Amino acid sequence: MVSSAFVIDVHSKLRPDPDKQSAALLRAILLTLNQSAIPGESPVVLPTQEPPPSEVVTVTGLMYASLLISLFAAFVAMLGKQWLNRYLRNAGGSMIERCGDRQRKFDGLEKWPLHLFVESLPVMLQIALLLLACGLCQHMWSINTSVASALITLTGLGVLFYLGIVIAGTSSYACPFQTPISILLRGLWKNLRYGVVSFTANCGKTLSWTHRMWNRSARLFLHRLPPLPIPLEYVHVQQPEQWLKPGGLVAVWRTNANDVRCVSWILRNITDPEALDIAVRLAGLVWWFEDGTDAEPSYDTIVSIFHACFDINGKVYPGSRDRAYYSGRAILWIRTLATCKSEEFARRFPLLVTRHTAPASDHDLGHLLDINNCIAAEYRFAHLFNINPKHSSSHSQWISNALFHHSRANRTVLDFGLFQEVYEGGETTIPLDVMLNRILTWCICLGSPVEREMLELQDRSCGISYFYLSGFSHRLSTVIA
Amino acid sequence: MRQLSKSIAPAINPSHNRHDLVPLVFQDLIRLESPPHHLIAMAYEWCSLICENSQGLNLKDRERLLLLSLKIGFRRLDPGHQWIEDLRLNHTEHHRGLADVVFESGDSEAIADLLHAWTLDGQYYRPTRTLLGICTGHLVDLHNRVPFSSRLRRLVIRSVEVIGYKGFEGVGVERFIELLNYLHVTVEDMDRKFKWANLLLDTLQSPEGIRHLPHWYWELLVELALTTPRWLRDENPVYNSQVVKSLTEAEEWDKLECWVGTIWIIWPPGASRIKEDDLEWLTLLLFYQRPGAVQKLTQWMERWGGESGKEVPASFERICRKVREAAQQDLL
Repeated sequence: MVSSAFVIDVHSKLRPDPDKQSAALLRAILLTLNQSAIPGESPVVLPTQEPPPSEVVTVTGLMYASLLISLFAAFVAMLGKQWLNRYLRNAGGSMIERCGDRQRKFDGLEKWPLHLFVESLPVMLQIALLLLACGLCQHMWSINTSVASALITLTGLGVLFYLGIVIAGTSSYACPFQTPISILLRGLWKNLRYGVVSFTANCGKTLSWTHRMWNRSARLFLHRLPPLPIPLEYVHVQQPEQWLKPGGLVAVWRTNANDVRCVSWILRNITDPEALDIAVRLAGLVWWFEDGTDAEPSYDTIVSIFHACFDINGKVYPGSRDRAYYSGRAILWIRTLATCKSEEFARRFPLLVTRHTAPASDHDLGHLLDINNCIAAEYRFAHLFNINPKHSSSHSQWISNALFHHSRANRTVLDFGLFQEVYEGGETTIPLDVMLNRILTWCICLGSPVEREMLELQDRSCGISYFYLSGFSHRLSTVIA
Repeated sequence: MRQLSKSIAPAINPSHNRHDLVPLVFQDLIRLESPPHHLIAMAYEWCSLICENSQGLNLKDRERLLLLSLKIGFRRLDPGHQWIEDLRLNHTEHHRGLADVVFESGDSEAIADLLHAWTLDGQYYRPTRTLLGICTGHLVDLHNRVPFSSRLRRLVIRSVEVIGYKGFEGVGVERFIELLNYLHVTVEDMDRKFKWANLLLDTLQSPEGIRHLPHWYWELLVELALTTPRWLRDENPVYNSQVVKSLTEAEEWDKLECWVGTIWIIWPPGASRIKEDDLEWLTLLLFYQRPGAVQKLTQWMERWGGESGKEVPASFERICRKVREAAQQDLL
């Protein structure tokens, strides 16, 4: 806004001076009335209006440009403030819903280049300052060269200082004086280094990125607006009739990918115990390492949470039962899913053989510890089969889900002689939703290929079971029918 | 479920590398809370496959697999369910092999499973009289070999109903009557009363039936005759005149009371070959021997008239009136 004062001053010089015109007219009138009033001068025609000097036009242009860029920077800053307010706004709901909402918004920030707008603000202000300085120097030059010299010197020093910062930022990424120009120059330098072909490719990428952005914008504004916030359970429980349709499946996989990133981010960045508990719980439910999920779980964090739930004698601390159960579940789950990818990959997530024990009355935790303590896959497999009425229904469902993945991972190597040492069988009844996973497991063990349909069936039934199971029986009846 | 069927079918063959898993799978499937109808049909198909592949299996394994398959399909079904709308059981020749294996196993619940399978009725098929027919030899002797649970009793009663009297003639009516006596069938146990009415008429009119069937079956016949008037019109059952002769000779007046009531309901004078005079004579003889029978027969005939919408025969009313008048004169 400083520039506006100079603009007002310079703006007046663009018009013809009315005092000069008045003086000329008075002189002409005087000479007409009395030609001897001013000897040697004759009455003349009024002088024509002269255009403003070119330096005045240049100075005015520079200052106006500076003013407008400043105003535009302020406008973008206000918009940015509005966008960030929306990002920070709490949509309400449970911790899981808030995490999911935050993750979706965060993904949106990464997809859409909000950072470019934010980065452009200081650049615009820098340009405005440079223009103002140039205009001021030129203006002052026409008034007083001494003062102008001082201004030019100081401006030059400022420019040199900025160039120094840019060079420092370009030369080293570790340099704290990073500016958008230095980042751009570094990119250019890299492109130059890898040759013209690479540079051209990047240009192509830029073009295609522009094209993609245009398409996205069109889709966003013309066809759909992201329906935020979406409570996570709605994504799965509602639409029971559509679960086998490709569109619905894509939505499920997309939601899973979102959940995976969300859980991974919380485990790595958040220290709030409530948030961690929720993330650990979800870590035992989401499909890690599947197509489209690039995030990996913070396995060490989960393991340390699990160990922290038990005292030195291996007994669970009072009040830590749920945390122990869910972290144990997450460990087994991550390991099992990693094994589905490859045995070598699974070595990154070793199972824990511990001496932890659960209270005799806590059958779910006891069962889980039994499974986790098994070294042989066959024993683990048999324990996963050993469900009895003492187990809670949610535990049975989750276990059946883990069982399915375990069979996916180990079907070719399972030795059923070993398996039968631990397998209890029994006559107690099993609900249909749990049995469905067991049936799929048996199919795999009998040599059926793992078809995509089976995975999807399993996913929709118990895959993200704890939170999303309520509509299952209806879906299952549809499947069986 | 289709996937399961596709996986198990080849594994039933003993040469399959995962054949050893099949009993484990079956044991697990038994635990299913309420088997869907597809699973019932599949389990029944597995029975056929097991019988088909029986040459490669030893007897113990075959028996085990068959009993498990039947258990998967039928153990959790309500024995009262005879009709399952959308169930389609495919009966094959191989299923014949089930009878010997299951009955010889001595497992009463497995026998009940098999009888349930063979007496189930659906939209797409009927109960298999042919398959059940091969069980008659086992059935007549069953109560001497295995303990009867209420489920087995119910299913044996239904099997007898499906097979009918003719099916048991070949294995000996006396043994059949022994089974009937053991079963002590009531109206509540029956699924199709008209079938039982036919069965009892045939049995009671046989020489062994006259002698050995207890009084309650004669009463049951009257009850069935009273409650199934449509059957009377459609079936036109055969009358055996030897029954009266045998009963009067043996002085079985309780049974004769039921039989006379049955004749008046099923073969009234004019609607059958029985002569009116003969029937009047028989009724009077009964009333003479059992004066209390007048009231009982009158009640039956009034009930029959009410339920069938027909009038009580005039000759019957005349006889009753005569007997009542004679009784009053005796009293005076």
